[in-house]
Amino acid sequence: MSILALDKIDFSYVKDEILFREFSLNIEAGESVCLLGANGSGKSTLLKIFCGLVFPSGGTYRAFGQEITENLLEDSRFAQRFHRRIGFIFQNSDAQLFTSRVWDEIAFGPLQMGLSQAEVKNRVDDILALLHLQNLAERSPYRLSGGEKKKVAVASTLVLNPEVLILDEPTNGLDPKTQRWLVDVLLELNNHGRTIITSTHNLDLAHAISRRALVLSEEHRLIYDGSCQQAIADKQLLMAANLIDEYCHVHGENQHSHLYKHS
Amino acid sequence: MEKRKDMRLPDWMLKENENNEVVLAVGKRNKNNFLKKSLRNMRAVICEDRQTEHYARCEGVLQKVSPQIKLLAMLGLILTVSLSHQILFLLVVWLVTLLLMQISRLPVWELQKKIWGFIPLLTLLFSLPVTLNIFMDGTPLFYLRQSALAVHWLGNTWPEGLFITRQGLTAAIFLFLRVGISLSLGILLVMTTPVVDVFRSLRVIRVPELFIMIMEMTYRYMMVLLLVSMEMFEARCLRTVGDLPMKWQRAQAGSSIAALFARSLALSEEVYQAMCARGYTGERLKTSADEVDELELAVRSQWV
Repeated sequence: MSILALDKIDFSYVKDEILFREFSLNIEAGESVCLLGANGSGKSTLLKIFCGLVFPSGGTYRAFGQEITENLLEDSRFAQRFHRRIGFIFQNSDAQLFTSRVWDEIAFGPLQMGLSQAEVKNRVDDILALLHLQNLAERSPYRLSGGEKKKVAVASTLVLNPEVLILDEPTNGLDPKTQRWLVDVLLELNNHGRTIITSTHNLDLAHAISRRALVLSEEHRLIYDGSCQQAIADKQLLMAANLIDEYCHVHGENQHSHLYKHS
Repeated sequence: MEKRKDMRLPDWMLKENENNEVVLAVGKRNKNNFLKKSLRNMRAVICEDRQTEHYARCEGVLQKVSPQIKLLAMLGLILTVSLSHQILFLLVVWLVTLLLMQISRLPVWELQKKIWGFIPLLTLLFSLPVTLNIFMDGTPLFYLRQSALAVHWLGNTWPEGLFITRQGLTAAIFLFLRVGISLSLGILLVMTTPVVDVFRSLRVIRVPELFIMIMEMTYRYMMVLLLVSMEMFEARCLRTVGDLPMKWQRAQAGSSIAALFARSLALSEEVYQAMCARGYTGERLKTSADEVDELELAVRSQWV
């Protein structure tokens, strides 16, 4: 069953410069999907459409079986329920953190869900323990390191227990240990039926967490929809999407070239 | 990939939230929601900036003219329009701006609505009292009230009748047209020239380098800050999943303002450090492109 479905949507930020034209896509419940594409291919915009932050000018977007429109999300009750079910982790963690204490940041969502004070405390403490953030609970989010900020951003979204988790370039600026930790969390969530949508141009991350890959071309078209493993093995496809490049360099007296991927 | 053995999700994460079903739109539609309204406005500013840049890079007639020439021409025309006392001349200049918009591939009708729909109209509204004989005496055009005797009120002697004067009305119409046409000329310059070139062309009227640099940086910084604020509001909007007590809302608003302030301070510090790291000492060096532009202007001025 499709949990998120785009049907022939059109989208543009600037008139006369269409980003997506008649773009269609279905995401099934419980899938782990990876959105691959070079910079500017429209990955982040697509994720924002899924979250109801921007709206297509044509076509339809359905989430959980209901058509999502800007007008519908003006209904505060509907918008609240909708945002409970789709969690979004921004590429820039700094943007996501807006309170003066990590604990408050994580408690911001649960406090609105009508949970008792004890339940809120329980949820926040569980998440702090899961992500090993207990010692940061009293710190100010904007004084944390990049990796710590990312962890707090993930925690503040996970605490809402969303059915769909959307991550925009989640490993950008993270050290290998934190990357590995993030992969573990995503795998565990997916194993428990959560739908995960990740946008990245990090092929290692895509391979680690997703079974299905969607590849966007630089012209904002979907040029591949299928197995992640096959996508990563298809060098022609990755070259066409500008995800890998031929790199020429010198070793001693020998000059040779090989494919280079971003990671 | 294998997951770690020590990773265990808490029980509440293993089941769905209660009351998670999608509710039909039965709640209150609130178009004035502060968060969403702010988001809409911020997005509109960013889209407008992108749209302006898009038009400035179109293949139109004015886009091909040097920014310095355009700036001098527009300033000259604005000065002429401000000094002109001929309605016919003003109308001709307005028609020329329409023609220039058309051949520069700008959306003429949309721009006319924006140009004339607010500032000139507001100016006209404010200048309406001037049309009355109690502020500016002149030849009567329309009588609003006629009286045989002068009225003494509030220590003033008010004239026999209240009417709109020809001179007052002419002055108001001139003001309305001058404001609208000057605005049209300014918009023509801004929409056919990339913003960086507009700033750079200010050198031709001897605006100090430091002042231009501050304006450029302010513009850039404003857009960056706008993007950061927009992302913060988006994040806040996505995590607004219920009703917060007013006390909490106030605390959160205060926190957001503090966080944005801290972020903008950190950003300005980083920008300055990046400038210093590239050898900035307080004076901006001219690039070879700047030299070419000034040379081009000199050549064109000679030719004109």
